[in-house]
Amino acid sequence: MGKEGLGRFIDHLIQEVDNSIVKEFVESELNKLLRVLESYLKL
Amino acid sequence: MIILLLVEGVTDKIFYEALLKKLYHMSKEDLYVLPNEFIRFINNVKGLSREEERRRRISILKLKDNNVIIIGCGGFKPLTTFLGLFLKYEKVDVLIKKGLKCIIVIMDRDHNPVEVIRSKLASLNIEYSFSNNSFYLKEHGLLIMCIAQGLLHSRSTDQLEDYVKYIASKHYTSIARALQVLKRVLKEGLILNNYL
Repeated sequence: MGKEGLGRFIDHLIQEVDNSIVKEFVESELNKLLRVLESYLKL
Repeated sequence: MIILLLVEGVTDKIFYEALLKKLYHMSKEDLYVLPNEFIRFINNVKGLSREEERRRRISILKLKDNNVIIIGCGGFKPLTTFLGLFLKYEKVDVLIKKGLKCIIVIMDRDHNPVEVIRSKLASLNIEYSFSNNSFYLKEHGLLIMCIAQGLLHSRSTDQLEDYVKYIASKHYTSIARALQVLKRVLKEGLILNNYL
């Protein structure tokens, strides 16, 4: 799979995947990103 | 308010764009929603002057009055070069006045982002205070936050691929499970039908 194909796959995967899986993933692996965005964007 | 999210490649840009759209229902916007000062800076960066390249490498996401600019810099070295260009930009304070609050730098774990940013700031003679993986640039009142991507396990690639594999395995496992249940139910239905 080329880079373009990988990009399309990633976009498709994130669109399709259940929100709870994304939330669980971000909270465990990208918690810092989440906290910063939420504090700056007042989410 | 504007947040600048710098990532290594276009694939990373696609991943974080999709993630933020999914989590916060952010909308994708044209570059021209940004203040002119930002557009002028971006247009002057080598490799971003062509419209086609800008579209490929930059995404602007909007939520209410806030924008997140995601830039796939074209690799690890181009990312550090971009950050250096940005911090040396003579009008960086204007960009901050126009709403820039924070720069988030996401690099593959094997590139050790904290040390890379630390040495970049030292080479530019920029004073900072450091806490919790974030550099606060006193002179500009700007925060640079470092995130190392990649999972911490023995078979980790220390790259974005870890995240994609993790999410894909969760997603496709649940579909496989659903298909198994469906198959079982259909099979039971067939057996029942044979008795009726």
